[in-house]
Amino acid sequence: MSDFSYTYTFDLPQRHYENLSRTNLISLFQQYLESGETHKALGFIMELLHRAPFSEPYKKDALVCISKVVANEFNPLIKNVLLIALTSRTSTKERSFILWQDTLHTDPLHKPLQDLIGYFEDRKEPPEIDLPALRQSLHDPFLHVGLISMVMAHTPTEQALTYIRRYFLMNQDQIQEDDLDFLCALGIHNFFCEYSFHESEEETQTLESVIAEAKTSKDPLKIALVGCYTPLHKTCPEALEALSTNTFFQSLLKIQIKEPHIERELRADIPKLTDIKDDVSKNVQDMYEENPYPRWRDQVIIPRLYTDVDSDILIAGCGTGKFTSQLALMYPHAKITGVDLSMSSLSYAKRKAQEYGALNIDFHQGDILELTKLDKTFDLVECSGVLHHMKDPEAGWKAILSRLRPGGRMFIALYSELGRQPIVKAREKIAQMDIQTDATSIRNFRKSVIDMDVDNPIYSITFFRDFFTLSEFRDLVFHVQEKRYTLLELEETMDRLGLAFLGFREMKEERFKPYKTMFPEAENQLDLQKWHAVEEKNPDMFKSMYQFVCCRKDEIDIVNTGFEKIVNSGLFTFNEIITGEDMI
Amino acid sequence: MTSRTPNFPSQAGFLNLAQAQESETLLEALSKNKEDGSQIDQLYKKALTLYFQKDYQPCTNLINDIYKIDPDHIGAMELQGMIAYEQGRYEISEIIYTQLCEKELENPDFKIGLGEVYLRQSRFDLAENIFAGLTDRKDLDDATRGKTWFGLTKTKLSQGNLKDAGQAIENAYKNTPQDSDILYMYATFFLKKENAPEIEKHIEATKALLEKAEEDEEKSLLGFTLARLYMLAENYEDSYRALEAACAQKRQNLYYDPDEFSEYVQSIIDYFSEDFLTKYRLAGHESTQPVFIISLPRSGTTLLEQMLSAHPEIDTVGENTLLSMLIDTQSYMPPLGEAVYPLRLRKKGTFLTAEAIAHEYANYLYNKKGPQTGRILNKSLSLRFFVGLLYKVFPNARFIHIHRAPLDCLLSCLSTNFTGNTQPYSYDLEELGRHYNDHQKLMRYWESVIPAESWKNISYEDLVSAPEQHLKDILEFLNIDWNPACLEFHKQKKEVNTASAAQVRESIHQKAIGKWSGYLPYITKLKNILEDGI
Repeated sequence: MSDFSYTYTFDLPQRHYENLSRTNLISLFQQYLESGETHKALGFIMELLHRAPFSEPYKKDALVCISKVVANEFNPLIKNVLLIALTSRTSTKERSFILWQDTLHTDPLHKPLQDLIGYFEDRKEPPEIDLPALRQSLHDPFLHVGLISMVMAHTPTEQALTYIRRYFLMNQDQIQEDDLDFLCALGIHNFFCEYSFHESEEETQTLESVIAEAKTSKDPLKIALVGCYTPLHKTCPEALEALSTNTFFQSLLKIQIKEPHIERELRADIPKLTDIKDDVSKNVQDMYEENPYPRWRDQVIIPRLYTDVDSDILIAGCGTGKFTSQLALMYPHAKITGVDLSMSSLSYAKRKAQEYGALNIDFHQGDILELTKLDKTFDLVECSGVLHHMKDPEAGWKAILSRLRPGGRMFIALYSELGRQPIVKAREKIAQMDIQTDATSIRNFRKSVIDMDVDNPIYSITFFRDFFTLSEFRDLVFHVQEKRYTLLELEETMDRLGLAFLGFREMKEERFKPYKTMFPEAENQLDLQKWHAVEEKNPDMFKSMYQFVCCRKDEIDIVNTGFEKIVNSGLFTFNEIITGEDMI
Repeated sequence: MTSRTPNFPSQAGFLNLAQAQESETLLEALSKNKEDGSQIDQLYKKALTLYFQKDYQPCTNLINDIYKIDPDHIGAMELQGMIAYEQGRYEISEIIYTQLCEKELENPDFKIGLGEVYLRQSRFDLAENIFAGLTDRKDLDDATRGKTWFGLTKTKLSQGNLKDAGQAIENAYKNTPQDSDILYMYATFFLKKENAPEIEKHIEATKALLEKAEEDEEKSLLGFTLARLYMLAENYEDSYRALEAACAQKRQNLYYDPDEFSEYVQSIIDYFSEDFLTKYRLAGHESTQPVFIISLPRSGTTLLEQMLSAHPEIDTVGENTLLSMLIDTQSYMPPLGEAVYPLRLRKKGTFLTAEAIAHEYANYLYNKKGPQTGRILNKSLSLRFFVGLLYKVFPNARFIHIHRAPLDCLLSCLSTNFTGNTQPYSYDLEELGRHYNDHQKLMRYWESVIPAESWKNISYEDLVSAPEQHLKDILEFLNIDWNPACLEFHKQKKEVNTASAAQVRESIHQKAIGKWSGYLPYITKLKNILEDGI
């Protein structure tokens, strides 16, 4: 996703700060940002971006700045900053989605697209597309950069894009050369969403002939159209022979064919740690083998190195390795082991880790239940969002505990029974509907959810970002195995395992307030029974997961050197208030 | 907002936000009350001493202390500007000197300072304006006038105007014949063998200056000048003796450990192993613009650069060190088995991924030369150590390794008084020989592991003996069509800012081949080391 900047000729606003040095611009930007004059601050960051359109630190700065902006009306400056900054590879972009969307919805250039989205917002039948008029919107790089860098977590926008995609497929004679950038951007977007858009039977039938044509003609427009519906590495690998040098087209080929090819090659280098014998583990593995999950794109790089951290770290259930490679980059001398069931996720993880230069990770395929066979122990074991998908989470927990060195610590994350209630209700209803979990069934089901009455409890799942990506949606509502905990159950389980609770991780100040209000006399915030009482009154407070730290009961006061080094790096906090924009 | 540039903590001269936050101390300082003047004087004297001792960090701390008392202290600002200049942070130095010139409109020293900054930034028109403007001033003393003409000499030389540069150096020399920098430039670039009677006169004058000289730096500079003058007089024995003394003088103030360098080269080879280069797929930048010219100094890099950049599709950023600095100070990768990342992370803690560094450089090229330029050359000398990483992050870049007959290259190095401490191995025959052998080892290694479509060797001797044939070959390697302008390179007005500025304004010649043969009787030690290396 790195080279799109080449494609654009930036339409920059008038520049006022050409005479200021780069350093002065940053200083001014900070001062205005701190004094709340965000729009003036934007002017300075814009000038920086103009001078350095490829500069990662500045793109990152720009995104941090822009995430604090609230736009009540169309502001071309914001559009320009987003246009450049969203090409960053080292920032979180999802935070910018609302602003990007607000800009798209207020920019006069995008009037035709806004009108189309409006029909879906109002739940009205949209009119036939007026492509010549719509093109002014479809050809805008601002739309392209949004499509390639973010999930369109807004159902009317998704519906409009689905409608446009269908129009292109069913009216191929209308496609022009200059539609290529848009089609490639939409193809890239769909690839990352794993083709979650609804596809009608008519489209499926038409697509077959387009695929055949793309294979023989190697026409970039046909190839891009196919890439909007199916991953090219599966349906049209011949696309690599196409002659176009269009940057977007080349990126489409890179993302949809070359990178999956690299992942296939890397599979051979990932050793099998253990056999996967458990039936539930096998089912979960099958579910995650279909697509690497989650298919993350950009890594938040913290520009600090902690070379004195040489600890051994196990990430049990590393998935596609976003957290794993982030740790590896910050702790280049640490020896990190990532274990996961899914080879598909692991090979994705390995490719991404190499891209970023996170070379101190050993990836292994294996079942957590069989980790006792691993001839190695660790200072830190992280197991986030994994145990609750096992048939016997306690057995899994015991297995990873066996790999914990004396004085080491565990970072665990588990689903909350109370926090997950809205999902549970939706899941119960969905379970009654007996929906299959193949891609086509899920796509069709997504459409039926979008069309549901807004008061229907199931409709609430469209407010989750996970709704918009096929794997994440499947993980959200169709996971083959899910165990949820209350804090009381958690305490009992930890008792049986001989573990002590050391605090929740990375909590913001306001999340401690209810505890302190209910129990003002409490010496600390380590009593899970008290926390349970707090959660009962505030069921949303752990709606994602309980993320906490624990250790063996008899080692509360013993911390081994390896873990101490990690703590000293200051990157993790437990039962403390976190600060900083991009803390893990 | 302060009118002053804050304290700049980044060695690379490029700050991101996190780093900029560290510089807030100055802003805080500015808001504090002024204190007693005598304390300032003491601080300033201490800072000045530290500056001359090149202890820049403690000096900068004192400057910050001075600012806490007097945010407009001219002396402190000038020191800050000079430190930034010495550290190659010209953008910062420019801001400070600009502010100084605004504060004291008539002060010629600040103008000269700013002119020198512009020269380092290759902004020759701005430099010319400043120096040419000062030459008309009647109120300058001889030393300042000499500096002004000297500045103009360097400007004209870089602009390729040898005639005006010659006139300017004559004027500089006339005003300050005792200035060793001016004398060195005069002897190195403008005196020819044909001026025999004049040369004798200069030899005597230089010897007299050398006897009086007190500072090490001046002694060595005059020694290099004397060696050059003796050589022009074809008195190689005295020339070599003068050179030997100048080198010894220079060497004693430089740090260089040949064993350490050998280990450094080996550690690069160990880390960027064939396995690393084939197995790992680092992300980078797809730009096809970068071309890296890899060599030792005095190997014909400037000639090659000028020939190639005469082509309308090729441009150059000269010895731009942005990329080298970023790699050397902010890149880091995990140990691979026993092999530890060999490039030194000088600024503890700050870090950019290799990919981000590639993007920073691509950004620089894009801004400096625009997207339409096909290839952009960079001949920064330290690039030779980074080939493995550059190959990974710029998969479409090209590397051209230029080499020259070893004795010609090394004796040319030995006779050159390189700026500051940039080539510390170059002042001792044994160290020079060992450095060459290690360099060759590294070059042979890169050649063995970098695919032929990315790596090309060319010898200086081949280039000057059959330029058209070899240039065509190189252009083909760069996927660029032949253009005869490459042979007419000496007529172009592209900027040159290296020790070879005068040579490349001449048409292709072979005078530099075997130029140093007069020294052969005195360099047996070097020859033996080179033979050992083979």
